[in-house]
Amino acid sequence: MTSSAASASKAQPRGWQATLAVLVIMVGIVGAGFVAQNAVADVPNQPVNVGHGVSLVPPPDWEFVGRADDRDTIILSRGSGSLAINVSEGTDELAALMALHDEWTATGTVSAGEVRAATDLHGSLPAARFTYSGTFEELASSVEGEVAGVRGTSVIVLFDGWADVGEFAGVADDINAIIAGTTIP
Amino acid sequence: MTAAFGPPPSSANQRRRPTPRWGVQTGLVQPRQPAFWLFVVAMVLGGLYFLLTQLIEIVISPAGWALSWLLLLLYIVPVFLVVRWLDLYEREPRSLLIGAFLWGAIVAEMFSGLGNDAWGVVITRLFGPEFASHWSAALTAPVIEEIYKYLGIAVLFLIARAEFDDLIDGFVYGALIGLGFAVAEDVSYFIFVFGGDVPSVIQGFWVRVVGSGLYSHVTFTGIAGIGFAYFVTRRLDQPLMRRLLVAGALLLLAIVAHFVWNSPFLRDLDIILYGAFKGLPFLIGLIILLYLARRREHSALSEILAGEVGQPGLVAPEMEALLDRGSRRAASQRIRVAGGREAERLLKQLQREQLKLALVASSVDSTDDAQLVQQRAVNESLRFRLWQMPGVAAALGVAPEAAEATLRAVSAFTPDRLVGAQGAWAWARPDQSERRRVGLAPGLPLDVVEERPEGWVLVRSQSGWYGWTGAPYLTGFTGTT
Repeated sequence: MTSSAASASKAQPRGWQATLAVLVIMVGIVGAGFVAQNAVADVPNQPVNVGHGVSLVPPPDWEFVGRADDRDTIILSRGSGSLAINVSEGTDELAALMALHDEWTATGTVSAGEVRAATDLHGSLPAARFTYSGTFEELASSVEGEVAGVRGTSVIVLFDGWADVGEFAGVADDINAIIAGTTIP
Repeated sequence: MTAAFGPPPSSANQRRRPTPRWGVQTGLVQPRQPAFWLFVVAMVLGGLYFLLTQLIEIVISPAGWALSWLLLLLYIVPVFLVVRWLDLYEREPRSLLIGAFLWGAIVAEMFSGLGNDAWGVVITRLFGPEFASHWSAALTAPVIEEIYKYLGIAVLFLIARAEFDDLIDGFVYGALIGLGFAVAEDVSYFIFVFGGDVPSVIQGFWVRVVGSGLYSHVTFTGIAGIGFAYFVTRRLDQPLMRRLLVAGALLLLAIVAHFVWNSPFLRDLDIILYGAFKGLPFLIGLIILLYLARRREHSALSEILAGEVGQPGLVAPEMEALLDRGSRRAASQRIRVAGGREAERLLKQLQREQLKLALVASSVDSTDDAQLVQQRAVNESLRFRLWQMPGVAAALGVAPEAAEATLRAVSAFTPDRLVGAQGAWAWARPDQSERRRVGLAPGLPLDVVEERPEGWVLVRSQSGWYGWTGAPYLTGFTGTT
C-alpha cells in the first residue's frame, strides 16, 4: 500500500510557469552574454602596459596569462604558443640578447643560433634576434622559439616567443605582428 | 464489496498532517511534469558537450584523463557518503541524487562555460586583458555558475516537490549538484591548466581536491540549497518576504563565498593557508546552517513520532535514544555488554525500523492506517526478540514489570477467520473511498487484530501484512495453519 507517493505525485502542480521561468533564465544568461559581447565588439581592445611606457594590444585570440613578480614582464599565450615580453632600462639590445643566449646554452639542454641584427622587426628601431630549441626546467615538454630584442630611446624590450617543437611556425607571424605593434618609447 | 460498513471513521482518527512528509517518496522520472522534460533536453545538450570535452581530454592525455577520474572517485565517494549520512531521516531517492550530480557535471558545467566565456570577453573588452586576467573569474563565475547550479535545485524541486520536506533536503541536492560541477571542472583543470600528464594531474589533485575540495562548489551550492529549501518548505509558517529574504541571502552568501575564493586576494599563499583564509569561514557557516537544520529535523521527528510513543512501535526510552546520538551510542554499548553483538545488531535494526515508522507516520493521514499498524507490529516483534535476550531490557533501563507486560502483549499469529469463497477487498484505512486496496484470495487465513462496530475489521496475514476489510466477507476459521 504505497500509492500515497503516487497520489502525491499526481496531485503535484505542473509548474508550467516556474519551469518556463527556469528555461528563460538558463537561456537568458548565455544569450545576454552573447548580446553584450556583440555590443562591445566595436570597443577598441584595451592596451596592456608592460612598463617604462611600453604598451601593446594583444590580438583577439591571445590571452593575457599574467605578470611576473618583477612587474616588468608579462606573458601572453595562444594554444601551445607563448610570448614573454620584458622591459628593462638600457641601450644595448645585443648585450641583453647575448646574456640570455649564453645563460641558456650554458645549461646544456638548450641549443641556440647566433644573435643577428634584424632590420624589419619594429620600423626603424634597432633590433636583433636569435632562435633556440631545447628543454627548460620549468617547462614540461621540449620547445622551440625565438628571442627578439628591440631598443627604444632608453629601454630594451625582449620578446621571447616559444611553442612546442614543430608548432612555433604557427604562432610566429602573430608574434611578429605583436612586436611590430608594440609602442616603444 | 458494497457500502455495508457504515460511515467512514470519525474525524477523531484523522491525524493532523505534520509539516515534513518524509514518507512520501517519488523519483526523477516524472513525465507528467514539464520540468522533467526540461531536465531531459538540458541533459541531452549538456551530454553532447560533456562527451566532446571528454574526447578532447582523452586525445590530449589518455593516461592523465583516466587518472583524473580515478583520483576523483576518491573525492566523490566520501563526499557522497557524508551527504547521505547527513540526510539521516528521509533518504532522498537515488534517481534524484544521481540527477542532481549529473545536472552539476553536465548541464551547469556547459551553460556556465558558455556564459563565463561570453561575459569574460565583455570584461576583457571593457577593462583590458590584464584586469580580466585577475578579475574575470571572480566577476563572472560566482554569479553565472551559482545561478546555473541553483536552477538545478529548482528543476529537481519542480520535478519532485514531495521530496523537499526540510532544509537538509536543499543541502543534499545542492551539495550533489556542486559535487558534480566540481568533478567535471577538476578534470578539465587537470588536463588543460595543470598540463594533463600524470605528475601534473597528481599536482592538480593536490591543489584542487586535497587542498581546497572542502571549500568549493559543494559548500557554495550546499549553502544556496538550504536557502532554496527554506523558501519552498516553510510556506505554512513563514511569510513570503521572509522566505524570499532568507533564500536570497543564502544564494548571495554562496555567490560571495565563490567570489572570495576566485578573487586574486592572497593568491600567493600556500594552498592550505589559502583554503583556510578564503574557504574555511564559509565552510564553518555551512556547518552552522546544517546544525540548525538538523535541530529542526529533530523537532520534526519528535512531532511526527509524538503520537506513536506508547503505541506498540515505540516506547518512551526508545524515543529518547532516537533523538539523541549520544544516548543512542550509550544504549548500543550497554546492549553489547549485556547481550553481545547479536543484541546490538537487533537494537540497530529496531532503531532503523523506528525511523521508518516516522516515515510511514508522516506519509499517512490516519493513525489507523494499515501500513502504520503494520510498521508498529514490525517494531514490536523486533523489540520482542531483543528484550527476550537475558539482561537486555534491564540494560535499556526498562523496569522488569514493564518488560514483562510488553512481552505478554505481543501475540503470535493465531488465525481466527478465513476470507470467504467470493474473496474480498482490503483497504489501507477503514474507509471505502480510500483508493489503496488489494484483493484477498478466498480461503486466506487471517488474524483479526481489531473489530469495529460498523463492520470494519483490521486483519493481519501470516506474512505480517495488515489491512482493513469487511467482517461479512470473512468466515470462521476451523483448521490449522
